[in-house]
Amino acid sequence: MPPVALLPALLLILLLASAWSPARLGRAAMELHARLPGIHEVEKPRPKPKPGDQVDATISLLQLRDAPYRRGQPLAQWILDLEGKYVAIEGYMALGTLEGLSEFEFVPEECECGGSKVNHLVMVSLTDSTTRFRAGRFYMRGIFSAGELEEDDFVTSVYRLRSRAMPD
Amino acid sequence: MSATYRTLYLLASFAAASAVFAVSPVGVESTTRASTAVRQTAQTAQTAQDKPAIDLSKLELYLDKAQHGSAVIRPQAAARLVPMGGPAAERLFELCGADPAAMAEMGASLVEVLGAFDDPRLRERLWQGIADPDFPWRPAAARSLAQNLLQRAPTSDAGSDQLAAAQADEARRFRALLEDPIAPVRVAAVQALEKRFPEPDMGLRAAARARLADTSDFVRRAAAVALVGWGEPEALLWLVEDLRRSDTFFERWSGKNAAYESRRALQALLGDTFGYDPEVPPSDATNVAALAQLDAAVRARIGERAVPVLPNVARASGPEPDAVLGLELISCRRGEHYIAWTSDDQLLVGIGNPARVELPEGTTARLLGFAKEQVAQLDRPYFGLPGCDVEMLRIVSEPGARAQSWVVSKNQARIEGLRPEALGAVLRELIASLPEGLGASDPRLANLRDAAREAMIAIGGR
Repeated sequence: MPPVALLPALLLILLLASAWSPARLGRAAMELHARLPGIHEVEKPRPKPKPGDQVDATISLLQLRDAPYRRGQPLAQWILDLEGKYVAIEGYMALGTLEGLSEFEFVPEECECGGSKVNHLVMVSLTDSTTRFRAGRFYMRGIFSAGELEEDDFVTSVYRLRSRAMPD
Repeated sequence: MSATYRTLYLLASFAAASAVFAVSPVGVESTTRASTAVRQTAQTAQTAQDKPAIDLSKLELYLDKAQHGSAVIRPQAAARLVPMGGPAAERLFELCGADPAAMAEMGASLVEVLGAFDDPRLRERLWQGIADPDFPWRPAAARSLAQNLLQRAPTSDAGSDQLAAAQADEARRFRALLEDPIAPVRVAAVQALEKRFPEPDMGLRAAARARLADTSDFVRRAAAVALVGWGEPEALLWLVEDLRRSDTFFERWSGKNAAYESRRALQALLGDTFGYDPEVPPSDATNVAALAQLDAAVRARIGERAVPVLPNVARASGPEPDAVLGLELISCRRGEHYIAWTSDDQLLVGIGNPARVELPEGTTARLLGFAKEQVAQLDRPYFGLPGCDVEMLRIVSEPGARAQSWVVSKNQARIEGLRPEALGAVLRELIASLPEGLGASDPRLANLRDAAREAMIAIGGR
């Protein structure tokens, strides 16, 4: 076979070798990693909680805070089991939450005093209303989801709750 | 994982180079060049792996995020500076400035990672911060030093004697911090000494035992863990006692929080907590059974050693249903105070099992009436910015109702006019009513009025 006939195959091999660089492979691995449930959360449309819904589970933020968490590692099974469930969570609105926002940090202590660990809070998003500051402990009800959500390679939330509104 | 990918990449490149040789008429010289090219690629990759170049733009990005990012991003960004090593340490040293006031501007997240660089200059800056009572990040500085004990001599030409002398000097400083007015600083000091001295002398043991009567349950817990590690299993009793707590300070989960912390410590020390669940009361049948098993396990560990009597401050208690007025002062510079007034005129000081003082009849009713009048003038319950300085006024308006709260908070910087006048009037009245000359029986009562006033001024001014 004349050498020139092998040129397309050769070009293909070279193309594959350059395309499969470590950086590209790394990115591909990250994308795959992002699809694993309970490790990286790919936000998807979730059902909206309705008035009168019965909760599937009631938990406190101290329980979530106490659960082991390491970046990139699977979460505890009992937390993964709450995925998509209608859950009541007891905690505090983070100090300094502004009025009129569509989301807020729900924390296990009134004073986080100096910084928050990302696995110590639930990011609550409100679908039908906005925030008003509320002191003291209270329950939030909504659809729970768990998994690392990232922005610029920083984890911004591990636990989330989609709620209609804050309780009266 | 990355090594696998690198191997795959090299194999693919090698296959490509071989293919070039196989089909090329150029000959041996080209083969040698191709092989050399592959070798050089591998060597370059290896060198890059050994000494990764620091991306200065990333360094600046992380510094920015660690200071100005959201509360959850700041500690993550600060932690990413540590693997950057020398260049990051240099920039942080620049940011530290000449005095603690400049270092305060860095924020707590950056201060908390300074010790991880094992750079004597940064360590000295941390100690300077701790020595300044007005430095707002003393807990972060103490944790940074405690979690990263000194490993490197102060100068590059120093010998092992000088390293030992520097370590002894740090140990002496940590010993002094066992008496610090800020509880998280005392916790860090206990943990540093536990790590530094696997076999402590009698003096250090005695100092740690004294901390078992600390006014903070976090300090008592750290001391108990250290003492168990030093062969004093009777300190486990302090941890088990926390599992019997169900106290609250108005809306604060003080007892449950302590139970979670101590359950985690017991799990690590005993390997089992027998199904104890902090989410249900200690009187629940599951927890009663778990506590019985824990008691037996601890008694077996103690064996023939003397069983100590727990001090009042460490004993479990329940909620205080008669508390109707409360004041929490949490100052990052002047410590924490938890004070409550009951409807039957008792003053309660502290969290958990509080110190109790009988007040003149009618004191609570008078203070409560005044507080209600004043807060009626407020249009909202929260004033300020999130941060480490917090004041909370609690009022239970009717028997059995939940407490209403009014909150003032701020970060390290002073804010003029932070506290509304009506709230200021309540705080001044409450603090002025605190009895003087207390404290002989309980350290929580010592200089209570002055200490509370100092904390109030440090947070929201006079």
